[in-house]
Amino acid sequence: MLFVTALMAPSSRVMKKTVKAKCILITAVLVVLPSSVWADTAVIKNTVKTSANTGGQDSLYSDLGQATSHVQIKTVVNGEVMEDIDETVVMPSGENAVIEKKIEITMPSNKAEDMVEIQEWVEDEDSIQIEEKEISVVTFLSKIFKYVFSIFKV
Amino acid sequence: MMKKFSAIFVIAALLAVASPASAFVFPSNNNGGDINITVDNHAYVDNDVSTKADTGDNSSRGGSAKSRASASGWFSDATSSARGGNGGRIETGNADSSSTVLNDVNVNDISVEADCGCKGDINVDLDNGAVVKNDVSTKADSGDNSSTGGRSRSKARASHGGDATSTSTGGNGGEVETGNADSVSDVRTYVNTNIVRVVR
Repeated sequence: MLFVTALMAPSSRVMKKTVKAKCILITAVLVVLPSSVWADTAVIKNTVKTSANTGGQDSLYSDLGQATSHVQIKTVVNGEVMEDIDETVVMPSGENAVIEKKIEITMPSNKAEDMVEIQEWVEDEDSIQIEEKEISVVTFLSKIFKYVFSIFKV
Repeated sequence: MMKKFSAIFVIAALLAVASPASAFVFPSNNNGGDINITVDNHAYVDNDVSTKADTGDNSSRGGSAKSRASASGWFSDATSSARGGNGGRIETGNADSSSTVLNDVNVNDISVEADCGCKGDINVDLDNGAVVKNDVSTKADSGDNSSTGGRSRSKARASHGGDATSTSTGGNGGEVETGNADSVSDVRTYVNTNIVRVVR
């Protein structure tokens, strides 16, 4: 903010106001947008419409089939079932079977530190080899980082 | 100058917004001390699904008929008869429509292998964010069929003492037999599933 003020011409009040407004807008984008869009949340919006129809005939003689609508919606957030809908509508011949669901689930922060599951297992040789390979890549990268940082320290 | 500065600032702002979208795993082991694992996942999923099965909207109409008779001789009769055709039979098959949506977003399956008797803590920090939008429309339709009889038009004309007879009959509508309409929507969403195992 100070840097912006230092750069502009002191005489121009209009320019000052414009820059101020821009700064406020950009700050709002930086602060508000990430928190609402990319915050530690799970937002699930389900809009489901299912319809079945056998009606609407223009005839004196008709033999109509059955209309059946079936909706299944299941939402699981971090192992917890948030919604589990299983609904069927069967309508007699000639009528519309419609199911409409509009559900929004907003979950707050989902920190998983308390979900740590500790167990012991015996792995076969192949999987152990793969893990060793992954660890060696990480070690290699960390060595490079350390080397780069050591240059700046000196 | 100011424009340039603003542009750079906006780009920086955009990068700051976009950067949390990347996922990374950064384990660090401080010489046999703590093991720290940080996972940062952010996802945006938007599904817009529309499925339709339609065996209906059939139309059958009998043909139209038109007749005209004219008699001009002395005491000559004129007879005209018209009958529209019948509508045909409509038989539709079943209409089966099915939409299936499966979202499996941000699944973290982390396995930490530590030596027996290791010192220090194992810190696992998982940070997940997900936005999932499912917009599903499923429709099955075997209806809206039409079977109607044809139109008819008849005209008779006799002059000089003759009789004029005109008969006009419209056709009959046909039979409509529709199949079943079955519509199924199946939406499953699994978000932020975290499994962390510490193996000794």
